[in-house]
This record gives sequence, C-alpha cells and structure tokens, in this order.
Amino acid sequence: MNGFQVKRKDIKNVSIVYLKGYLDAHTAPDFEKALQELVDEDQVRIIVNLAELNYISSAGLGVFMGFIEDVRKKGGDIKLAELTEKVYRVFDLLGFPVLYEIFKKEEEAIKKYQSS
Amino acid sequence: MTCPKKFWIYGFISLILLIFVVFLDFRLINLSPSPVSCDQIRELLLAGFFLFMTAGFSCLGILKRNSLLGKLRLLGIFALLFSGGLQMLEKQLPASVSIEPFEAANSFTGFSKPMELVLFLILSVLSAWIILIFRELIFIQQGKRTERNYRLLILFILLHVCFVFLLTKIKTLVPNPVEINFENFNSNYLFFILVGFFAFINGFRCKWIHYLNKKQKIGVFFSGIFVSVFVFQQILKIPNVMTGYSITIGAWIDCLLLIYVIYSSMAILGLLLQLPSAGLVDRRTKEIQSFQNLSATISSVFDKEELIDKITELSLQIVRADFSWIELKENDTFCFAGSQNLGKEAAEQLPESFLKNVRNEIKENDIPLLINDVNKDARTREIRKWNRKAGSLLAARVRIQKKELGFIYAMKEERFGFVDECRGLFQAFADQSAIALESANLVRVTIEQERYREELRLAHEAQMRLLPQKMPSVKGMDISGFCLTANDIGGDFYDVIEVDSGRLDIVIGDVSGKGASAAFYMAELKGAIQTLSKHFSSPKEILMEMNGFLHKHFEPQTFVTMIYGILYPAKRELQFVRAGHPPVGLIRKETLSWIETEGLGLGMAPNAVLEKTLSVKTLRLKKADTVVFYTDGLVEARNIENEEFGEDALKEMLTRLNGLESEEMLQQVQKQMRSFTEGIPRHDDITLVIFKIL
Repeated sequence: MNGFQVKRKDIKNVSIVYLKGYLDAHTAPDFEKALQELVDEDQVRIIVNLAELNYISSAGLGVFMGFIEDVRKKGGDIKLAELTEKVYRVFDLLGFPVLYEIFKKEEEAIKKYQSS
Repeated sequence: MTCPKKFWIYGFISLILLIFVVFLDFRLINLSPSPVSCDQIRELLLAGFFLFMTAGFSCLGILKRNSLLGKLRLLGIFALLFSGGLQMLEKQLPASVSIEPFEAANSFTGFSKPMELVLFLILSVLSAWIILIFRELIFIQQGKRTERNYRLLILFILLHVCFVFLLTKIKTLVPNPVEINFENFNSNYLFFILVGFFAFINGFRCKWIHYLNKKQKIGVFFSGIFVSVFVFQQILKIPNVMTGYSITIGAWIDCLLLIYVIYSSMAILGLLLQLPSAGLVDRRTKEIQSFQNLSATISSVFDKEELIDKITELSLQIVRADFSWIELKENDTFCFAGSQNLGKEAAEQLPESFLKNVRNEIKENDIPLLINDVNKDARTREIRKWNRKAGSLLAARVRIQKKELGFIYAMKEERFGFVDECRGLFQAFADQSAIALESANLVRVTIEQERYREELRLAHEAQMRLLPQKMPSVKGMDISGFCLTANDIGGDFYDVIEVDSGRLDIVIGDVSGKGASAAFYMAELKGAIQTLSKHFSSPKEILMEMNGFLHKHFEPQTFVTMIYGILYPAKRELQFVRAGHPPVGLIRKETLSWIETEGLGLGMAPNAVLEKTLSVKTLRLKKADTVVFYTDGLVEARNIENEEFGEDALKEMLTRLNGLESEEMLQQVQKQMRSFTEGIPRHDDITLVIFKIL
C-alpha cells in the first residue's frame, strides 16, 4: 500500500491543504475527510498544494469534482498549486485547466484570493 | 471359528472329560486297593476339564456387555456364593480325608455323593467366572505392562498347580524319598508366594475406581468389605476343601483365594483413600464435560439464537448457578441477548446502574467479578431495586483477542454461593463462548461473501457480453480490441459499431471508480452510444448529448473519459473527439505520434463549457497506418517494484509490434503486460483498440 498524507495550514482566511504521496482509491477517503472538514467549518477559500504528490488516480480526481460545486456555491473555490510535470499532465489530459485555476507557486494562489 | 461355536466345542470337551472323571470315581470306589496310576489321569482330566471350561466361558464375552457396576456386582455375588459353597462342601467331605499339605495318601477322595459332584462343579464354574471378572477389572485402562504382569500371574498359578501335583504324586510313587526335602514349608510354597507377589503387582491395576462417582465409590467400598469378610474366612484354611477332591483344582482354588484377598484389599484401600476427594473429582468431571459440550457446540451450532441458548445453559452447569444471562455488544451498547432460568421481562427490569457498575469493575480490573453478597456490596447495591431474589454474582467479559463481544452473568439466590476458583473457570468458559460466537459470525459473513462473489461473477459474465463479441469485418480494415478488468467488473469499455455500410463508429471509454457502480454506468453509456450513433453523425454532438444527462445523472465525483471516433473506410477518414481521455496514437512509417486535442471529461461540467472545449480532429489515413486507442490502466500499470509502465514504454512496444496484424499485436501486448505486472494484482482496467488501414 502506497503512503499518503494530508496536512492543513490556515493563513488568514485561506486554507492550504498539502498532499503527499499516492492519491488513489484507497487513500482518497483521507483527502475527502480533510476537504469535508474545511467545508463544515466554512473555510471555503481552499488551495491544494500538490508539490509532493507522486501519483493521482481517477478516484483522487473525483474527490475534487465531488467538492467543487459545494465550495463554489458557498462563495469559495479550490485552486491548485505547485503541480509536478507528471501530475500536471494527468490533470491536463482530463481537462482540469478548463475548470480549475492552476498556479505554479502557492503564493500566486494566495494572492489570487486576496485580490478577489 | 466364531465365539459361540468355540464355546460349544470347549464346553463339550470339558463335559466329556468330567464324565470320564465321574466314571473313574465310581469305578475307584468299587475297586480297592485304588490303582495309583488312575490318580494322575484323574487329575489331568480334571485339570483339562477346568481349562476348557474357562476357555469356553471367556469366549462368550458376556462380561464385555456388562457395565462396570454390573461386573462388580457379579463379582460380589459370585464371591459370596463361592464362600458359601466352600462351607457347604466342607460338611460333605468325609472325615477320613485329610487335606494336610502334601499328604499324598489320604489327600483326596473321589466323588461318592451326587451332592459333592454338584457343589464341586458349581465352585469350579464360579472360580472360572471370578478370575474372568478379575481379568476384566485388571485390564481396564490397560497399560503397557498390564498384559505381561497378568500373564506372569497366570504362569505362576500354573507352576504352583503343577508343583503341588508333582510333589504329591511323586510321594505316592516314591514312598520314602531321601534327597528331596518335602517338609520344608518355604520351598513347598515357593510358587504360591510368587503367585501372591504377582497378585500384589496386579493389585495396582484398580483404574476402574476412577470411573465411579462418589455415591458408587461409597457403595462399592462397603459392599466390598462385607463380601471380603466371608472370603477372608476361607483363605485362613489353606489348603481349601476342594483339595480333598482334586489336588490340581484345590491348588488352583488356593491361588484364587489368595488373589481375591490381595486384590480386594488393595482395591478397598484405594477406594478408602479416594473417598475424601471423590466429591471434588465429580465436580471436576462435570466441569470438563461442560467444556467438552461447549467445544462440540462451537463446531456444530452456527445459528446465533441456538448458540446463545446453549451458552447460557452450560454456564449454569459449569459454576452451578441458579440463573444466568448474556449481553452482546451492538453499536457500542450492551443489549440483553439471552438467558436461562430468567424471564425476559425480569431481565429487562435489571437496574441499568447495577449492570454498568459490574461492567466497569470487570473492565478496570480485567478479571471476572465475584460478589458474595450483592445486596451488601457497594458495587452491586443497586440490585436491591430488582424484584428477584439474588445472593451472589459471578460475571465475566466475553472477549476474543481485542474485540469485546459482551458480558456473561451468573447468579445464585444464596450468598457466598461461588468459590474463588469459579472465577478462572468462568473466564475460561467465557473465552470459549467468545470463540463460538465469533465463529458463528464468521460463518454468516462467509456465506454472505460467497453469495456476493457469485453475484459478481454473474455480473462479470453479463459485462463481458456487452463488449463486442465479434468485430465487424470491413473491407480494407483490420480491427481488434481487448479489455482486461482489474476486478470481476469494471468501468472500461470499447465498442465498434457498423452504423451503416460506409461508417464505422469506434469508441473507447473509462468510467472513473471501480466495481459495481462504474460497471453500471458503463452499461448505461454503451446503451446510449448504440442509440445516439444512429441519430447523430458528429462525434461532438454525440458526446454533448451524453454529457447532458451524465452531468445531471451521475454523482459529482464520477466522470467519464472517452474517445469517440467515426471512421469512413472508403474515404479513409477518421473524425474523433477526445473527452479527457489519453491521446490517440498514430503509427505511420514506423513512427508513433500522440495526437492530442482539446477536451474535457464527460460529467464534469455543463454542456456550455464542454461545447467550448471539445474540438473535433479529422485525420486523413494512409495505407499501412495504424491507429491506437487505449485507457490509462495501460500506462499506469505497475510492476512488483512499483514502477509505472509509462507512455514511453507503450510507444516503444507499439512501434516494435506494428508489423503484426492487429489481433496479433493485441496478443503480444497482453502477454507483455501480464509479465510486466506479474506478482501484483491488477489495480486498474486495461483496454486497447487497434485498427489498421490495409
């Protein structure tokens, strides 16, 4: 079983979720739990930092799809930051850039929230 | 030869021998002086009679059918009759006959009265049965030396009898022997003492005492003493009166009396020593039986209701309680599950505070709780609210490894009803019950799993039938495809539809997720495609139609990636759209290039967004071109070192295999993928469609 870790950091009114390792059908529930927590607490200005993510499967991608509508309805968003080349390709093939804002650096994402 | 037959034969022989003896006796009486040689013959005939008779009796196996108590009773009765018989025979013996040891001349007489013969016969028969019963008792719980020791006993009996016979008869033949000293008591009785010694050795074989319960032990003890009083009187008169009628039989009877005295003394002593602990032994036996009962139940009873009933029933037995009940854990609370000698209504009235205290006590101390006076003890005082009489309590946790299953309670109406050692016993019982309950659970789960497995298998078969069973044969084209699912059912699919004579729709898709829900969606989509392909001629339109209802219909986290291609073989033109799916591969002039187009997966966004994103690509294909559609399971397949197969490896493999026909290419790809993923179970579906322009 490949390892997976979720960490959360709150900066001002933005929450950053750090994903590390392999995000697949087995580990997706952990990611879901973290996002659910944020939604329950109304912390809907979310940035997901994927710098240390090695792999994402369709189950992992599905977690994003599962929350994005609720988050946007509450006036928030899920922005993605610091994707590796390999992981970016997966997101790109699926067409994520059409639906999500993807940033090279975490700060850019934070700035985007602050300016909006 | 069967046993009854043997009996008749031996019996017949012994009867013949006896008749000879009687005949001789009557003749002897009429003859005088008595022909000495007849004595030896007579003795031999009598010895033969006895041996054949005993052999015949042992063939019958009547004794084997008797219970232990039955055998002991028979032994007692026979011993009493035997003593009585000897007494009676003494009165019959002519005064002229002396039975002084080894007195040859006057030492026996023939049968002169019928009474003598009858008594003699009866006593012989009884002696045979008595030794046979002893044999049975000695051989109970036979050890490795039992047979040997018994045979030695018999051997020495025979030696004694022969010795006596020889001594007495030799004296007759040689009136005044000088060399042999016959008057020495010790040497004459040498073999007799050895018989006694081996009787003592065999006396240790009283294992049958263990099979009696306390009451029986007491009974056998006292009746044994009673019978022995009579028999012991007889042994004081050695040699016994039978010697007067036959040296050999008399010597044998001496031995028997000696054996009886020694063996019964040792048995009576053994019983005496075991009487104080007899009660405890009985209790222990009962406890073990309860455990055996429970073990047997574990392996045969899987119905939960029945099992609980059995557990509460046995719990009464094992600690001798008046009533008991069991609680099982359901969703973190403990619910009454069953009871014995306690009605459900009464059990429901047990104060919850009382039960809580008991459970906490057990959890804290991790040993069963024993309360001698529930009404006085601070921990269980709450039970005073209950309307049923209760004195002492014994309660234990039912737990298997770390999993807590419940609690079991046993109570007695009197106080101080349980001894301290009941704690350990009760816990052992609770542990076994836990095993039984868990087994029953697992069996139920296994049965359910089997059912699921069977249903999945049927679903798999149904799904396999949804894939193209046969590729349409189109002139100038070579098409093949395969799909390997990770589990029994999956979310990948492909289809090749001959819409009309000039159009071939080639589709590949991947529903996100695994298992049952992905499979259902896949089936739905396939159906949709079959219909939509008939009504629309643009791949984009078809995908837009599908996205329309998918977006509303599917769960938000489910999406579908797809490549929809429409091929016009005559024009060699391929129009396709890529909805979030891995790119199309085109192999031309031995080079493979990935053709990427803009696209978005289906079910992810409303049609307005998809409309803007999805772009249609048109390819003009040439002769010898190969087009490849695949799903991400192929590149994301992992080997035993957790390395991904990768896009580059796929590119290299396809380019290398391009010279083969599509079917062959597929087979080679399958072979390579199988060997790449060897040792690891497949974690994603693998699908591949290849078509070539010929």
